[in-house]
Amino acid sequence: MAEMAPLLECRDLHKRYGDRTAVDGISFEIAPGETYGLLGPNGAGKTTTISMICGLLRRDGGEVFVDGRPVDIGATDAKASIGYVPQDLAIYPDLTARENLVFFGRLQRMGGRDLATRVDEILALTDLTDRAKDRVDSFSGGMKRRLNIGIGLLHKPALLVLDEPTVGVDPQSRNAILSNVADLSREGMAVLYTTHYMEEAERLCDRIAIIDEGRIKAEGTRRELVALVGQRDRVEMVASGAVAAATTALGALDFVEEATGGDGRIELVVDQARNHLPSILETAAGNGALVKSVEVVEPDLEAVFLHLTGKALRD
Amino acid sequence: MRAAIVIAAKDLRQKIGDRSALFLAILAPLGLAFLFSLMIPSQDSFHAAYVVVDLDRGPIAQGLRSGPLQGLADADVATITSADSEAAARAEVDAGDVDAAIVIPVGFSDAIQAGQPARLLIIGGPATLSVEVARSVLARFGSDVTAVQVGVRAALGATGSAPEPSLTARLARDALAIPAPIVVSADATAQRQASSTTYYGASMAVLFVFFAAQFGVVGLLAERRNGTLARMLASPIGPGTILLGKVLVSLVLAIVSMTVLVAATTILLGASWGDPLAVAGLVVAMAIAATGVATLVVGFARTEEQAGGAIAIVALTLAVLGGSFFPLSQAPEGLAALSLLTPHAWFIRGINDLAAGGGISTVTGSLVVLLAVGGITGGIGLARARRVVTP
Repeated sequence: MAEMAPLLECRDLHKRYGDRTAVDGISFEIAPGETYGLLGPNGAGKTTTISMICGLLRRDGGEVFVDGRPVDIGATDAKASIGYVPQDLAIYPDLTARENLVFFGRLQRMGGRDLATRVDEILALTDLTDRAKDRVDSFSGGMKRRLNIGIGLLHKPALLVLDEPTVGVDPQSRNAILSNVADLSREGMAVLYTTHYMEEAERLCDRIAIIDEGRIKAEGTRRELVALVGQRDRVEMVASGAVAAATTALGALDFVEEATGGDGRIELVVDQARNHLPSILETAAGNGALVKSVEVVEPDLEAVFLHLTGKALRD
Repeated sequence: MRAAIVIAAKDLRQKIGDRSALFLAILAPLGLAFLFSLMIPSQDSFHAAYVVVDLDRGPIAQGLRSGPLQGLADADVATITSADSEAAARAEVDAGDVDAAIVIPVGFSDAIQAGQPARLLIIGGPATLSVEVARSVLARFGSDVTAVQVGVRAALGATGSAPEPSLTARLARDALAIPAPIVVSADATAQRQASSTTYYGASMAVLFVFFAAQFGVVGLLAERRNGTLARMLASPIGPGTILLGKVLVSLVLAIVSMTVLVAATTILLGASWGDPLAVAGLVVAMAIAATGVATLVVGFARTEEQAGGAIAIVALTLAVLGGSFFPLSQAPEGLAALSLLTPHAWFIRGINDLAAGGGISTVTGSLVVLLAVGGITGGIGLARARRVVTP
């Protein structure tokens, strides 16, 4: 995917606030249809980075290109390709949902029947059709969040930039948001997603950049990042029968790095365990063990972040 | 430009539902203009009532009654009635039937003819302006009498004869009948003062136009706080378009506020603003000046509360200096000079010029100053406000 012509290209971005360096040489690319995550704690420089990408903030250094066009504060053509969803609600509470959508649609150079049709589509997508004529200040928090995201999708942008869209959102709404983003990505939209929730980055993103103190510490797929710290998957089985014999046989397999067993349990350390699960279960059964349950525990990005920065992700 | 109009239309749509904007921009200035015009009587509507008690009935007393006092009645400045006694006149004053009583005591004419001091009595009610007018008229008559006495003495001195009462009386009557050698006439320029209703309508319009104008540009700070400014800036529009949209809102609200004031004071309070084209020019120029000042304040403010407070202080200070609360003709000389630094004074000056019957050319000076104020303050304000949009 990364070999395609990048839709978003950031080169050596820098931003300082007085003596403090907020962004210090960040570079990355996003291909069409790719979901790219910026994972880091609060204050890592995620919002500053996307503010420069969206042309909201002057850069102290570096370049941004969207679809080959340079982005700056006054770069109106390049901005037309970006859909921006800010972290905090950016909607007018004293206007209706439809009025909010129509206003921001007009700023996106939309109008007439096209705008009306698209507004209806977004209202349906965000499940707000029945509340279209209601003032937003009468909405629940989840409804406001959905409208906030819907505005960013109005003009069918090539690049959707979401700045921590699930902060302060209830689990149900969060699930809906993540599903919507995954759907959009499948439809070919490039997504830049910032979060400090490890689970969201793992669930949504094709590639992830771990960002801290204004720098990208590491970048790659989840597996590539995990590989950086040398951790492997763990396979935990509950079994009866010849547990000891099965453990010995499993330990002899090429892809098993470590095998321990006893008291009805077998634990294996395996690289890419999910790919080898059929062989593991077949070997256990072939050596007299009756496997009652099996769980694959993969190393997570929390461990990666801790390894790279020396601190926990939620610090 | 299209995007700026979209932003302005959205803001105006929000303001229509904002009762505080309606109150500050229209209802408050209209109400205050009405109250001010009620509380402070205008010069053109002044009318007093005096009762005269002539206990003297001599020729000089007759001269006073048929001269200056009749003059007041002829000019419809005062109603003059008569009473038989001081007690009756005092009762009328106490009852509020008249503003003041003028008592001409017994022997008044004789004393004057004899070259002796004479005394007139004014019994004043609570209407001090009416009493002052009466005092002024009588003082003027006293000066005339003094001049007559000097003339009579000079005439008698020239003849070298002893004072003959009949001769003295005739000389006195003849001298009083001589018309004043210098007559002061006032042309239109000297009289340029709008009626009190028009004046206070204009004063309140120019005071509250700042509150109306703030709703547009101060909205920029509110949009920044709400995050909608960033969302707008992420759209394919430049920072200048957003600023233009906000300035348009300020201008529209300012013009609407002043226009409603002009129309309402004309229809409801009988104000007479003058040539409509010239008034429209002054209204637009004043709206530009107020928008410029409001933009300047916003350029230096961090929050909308800070900006709103600062604009209120600026508006009230300029209003006091600029003559919104009292006519500058009644102000100390220094304040009158200082007022020329305010757009308020130039707007009111323009309205006063129009009251004298002038047209658009008459108010050119006011228009130029108001547009210059708007251009300079607005230019600086926009340069500063750009930092609000793009930090």
